[in-house]
Amino acid sequence: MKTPTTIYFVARTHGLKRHLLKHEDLQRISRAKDLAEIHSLLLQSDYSERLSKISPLKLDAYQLERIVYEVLSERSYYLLKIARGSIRRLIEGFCRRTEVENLKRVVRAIHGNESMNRTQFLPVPREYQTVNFLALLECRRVGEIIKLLKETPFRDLGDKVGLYERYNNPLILEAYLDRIYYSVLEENLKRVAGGSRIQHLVGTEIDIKNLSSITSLQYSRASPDLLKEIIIEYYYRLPRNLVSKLVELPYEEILKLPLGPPYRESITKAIDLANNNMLPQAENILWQYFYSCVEKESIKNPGSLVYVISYLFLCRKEARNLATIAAGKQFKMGPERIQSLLFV
Amino acid sequence: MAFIGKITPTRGTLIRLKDTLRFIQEGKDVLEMKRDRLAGELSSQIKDLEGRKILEAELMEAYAKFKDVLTNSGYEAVASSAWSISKIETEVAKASVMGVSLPRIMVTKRSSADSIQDMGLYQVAAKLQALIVDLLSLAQTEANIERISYELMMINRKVNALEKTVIPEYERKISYIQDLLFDEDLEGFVEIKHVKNTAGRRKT
Repeated sequence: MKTPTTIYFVARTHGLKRHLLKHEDLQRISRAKDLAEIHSLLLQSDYSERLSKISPLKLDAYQLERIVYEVLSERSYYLLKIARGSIRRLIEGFCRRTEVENLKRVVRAIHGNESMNRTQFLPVPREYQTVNFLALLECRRVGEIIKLLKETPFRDLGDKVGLYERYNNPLILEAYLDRIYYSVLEENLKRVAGGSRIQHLVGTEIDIKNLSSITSLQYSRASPDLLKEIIIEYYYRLPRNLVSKLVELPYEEILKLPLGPPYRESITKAIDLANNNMLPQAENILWQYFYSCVEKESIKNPGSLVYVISYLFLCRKEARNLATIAAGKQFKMGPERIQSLLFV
Repeated sequence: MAFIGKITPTRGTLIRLKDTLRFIQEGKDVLEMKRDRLAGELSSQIKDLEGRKILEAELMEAYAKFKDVLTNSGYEAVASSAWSISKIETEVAKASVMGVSLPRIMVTKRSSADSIQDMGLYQVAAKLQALIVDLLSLAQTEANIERISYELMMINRKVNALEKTVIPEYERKISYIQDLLFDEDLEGFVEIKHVKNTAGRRKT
């Protein structure tokens, strides 16, 4: 039995979803002759308010990418603003992935001894921040970050500092941030009605993330020991023993293992593309599968909370596709080449 | 000849000029030897420049792949991944070839792209890391060629100046003093002979 709050919330999401760009819109945008034309095409969308402040002739791909991620943040946190109770906790947990991405950026910058500034963070409204990002900008060592994260959901990150130092690889900390994120999200999912369908989406996302990490890092000949540490220990359709075997096998032999039908096809395509030196496309193929699952779930469950989570995933997909089109146009790539890099 | 009025045409001056000329000729020989050695070094370095076209083609190929990766992942994602790449460390020492100071670039620590998870970005980063080392080597070769060429130009000028101006001038000075001294000797001889003849006539 759905509560009125859930019904209201899902109904609002239906309205919000109408603001997303359709497949045909993206195709039209990818066929635009330059960024100025994209500017005019996007003036009838949620991006119009920000775009109208910039001259079409002065717009570059980086500016457009910033705008796209600002709108993504606005869309995600708008839902959080109107949510109440357990739904609010769920959305809050979901939106924390933006903070996780920002934390990963800080970790990378410190690892590479680089300094970053506040404009290089993905936008998170101040009232929803659980981490003081401005203070993190002052950190010069990983230990300093751990101290600042003590009172946040990411307090356990300190457990992996030793391992990070041993491998001298920030991927260890990045993977652990993901692990913390998903464990909090899982807890929140248990408290909402219809959480199992959302669990399916989140579980598939983690499986895809693990498969993507394994294939990518095996391509770069990373050691199995490092791979084991980078796996998010949450197993949905990929059993633990299968994942353990996957990390041991060389890249070319992954298909020898009995991967489940949903992933086998995508991995086969990804390996084929990688063998043909089409690495960006190979990287995307698994995520294409994930977004097709998201679309299916949103169609199958129009009245439940999974629709809301699907909407949030689709917002991310749109942002990523627009950023890709913008960069492609900046580099004067043809529409076919750009379309081959889109999540459709 | 302007110099003629400035020298004292004595035997001492002649000896000094001859010594100086010998020294200058030896110096010219040394400069010629240095020039030959540097020319050899230059031709061997120029051979290394032949790889430049291949390197440029590889760089363009890596750039094309980078554009694909950047388009696929976005500016900010690529930039933040790039932060985690450890930096290449180099040392520049000086080596001397025939007195010409040449830079020697040594890569003391290679950068590592192990912290990149994205396959495409990893491939581009790994390729660029290798190319950067080759670029450094090419930069060293170009700097060496520039310095050796400059030194060769200076040596050529010096050798030409010695050959065409300094040595002929010294030779002329020596020849002038020798002629003058010969005339003085002849004059002295004639005078002595004249004195002897006059003295002999008086005796008889």
